[in-house]
Amino acid sequence: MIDIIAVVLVLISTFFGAVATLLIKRGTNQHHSVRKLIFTQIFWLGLFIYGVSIIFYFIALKQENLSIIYPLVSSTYIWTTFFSVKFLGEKMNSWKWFALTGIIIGISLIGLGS
Amino acid sequence: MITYTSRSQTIALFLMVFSTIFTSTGQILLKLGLTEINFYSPLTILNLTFFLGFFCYGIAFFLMLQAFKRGELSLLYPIIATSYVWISIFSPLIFATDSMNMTKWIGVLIILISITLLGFGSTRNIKQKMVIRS
Repeated sequence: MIDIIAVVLVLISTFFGAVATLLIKRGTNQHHSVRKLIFTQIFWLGLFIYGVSIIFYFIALKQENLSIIYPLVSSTYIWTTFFSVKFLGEKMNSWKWFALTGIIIGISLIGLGS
Repeated sequence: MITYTSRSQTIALFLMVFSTIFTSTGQILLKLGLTEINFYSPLTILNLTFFLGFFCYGIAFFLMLQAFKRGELSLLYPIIATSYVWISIFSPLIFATDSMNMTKWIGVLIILISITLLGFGSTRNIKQKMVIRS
């Protein structure tokens, strides 16, 4: 039986992870030099949200095995791609969508084989 | 919206791959370091392997930042999946409890093909923009 709480925890974790990535990407867009970047609020907010994401992930890891966790973790690629299009104005095409689907299948297979 | 040159995105792509090598090395070192920790003497947490693991994570994060400013997130972020490839291949060689099997090999192969396609797909976007401009 799949632990529903673990599933929800992983999904929350991946969502926060993608938010953190978006913030840090925004930071690097504004400040090209890492020396300047580390003094910005957006960078530290990003790191903090990464931390929150990792805590949720660790709790979920204790409750479920990798064959369930890995496929769910790869949802972070979907969130990030969605954010890239919505907030960074990036363009997707059928090649990139196809590749993204492949990556998710690949990670799921590694999880199932573990 | 920022447009990146094809050259800049290629550099970013390789920086991301290097970043995943350091993330994977970091993970393996942290796991090795964890076995050196004796919970009855807490100072064993200060072992070199554990410290090197964190150091690798630091380098990986720095490389990721360098990559992020040079390319699109929708291209660079999925490259993190390469770390699953490194871990799957190298952890069975280091940890006796880990093993490789057919399912994992197929997963590794699909990830590698997909990342190649992703790189190819992002150059398609740039070419289309050039056509519109000319």
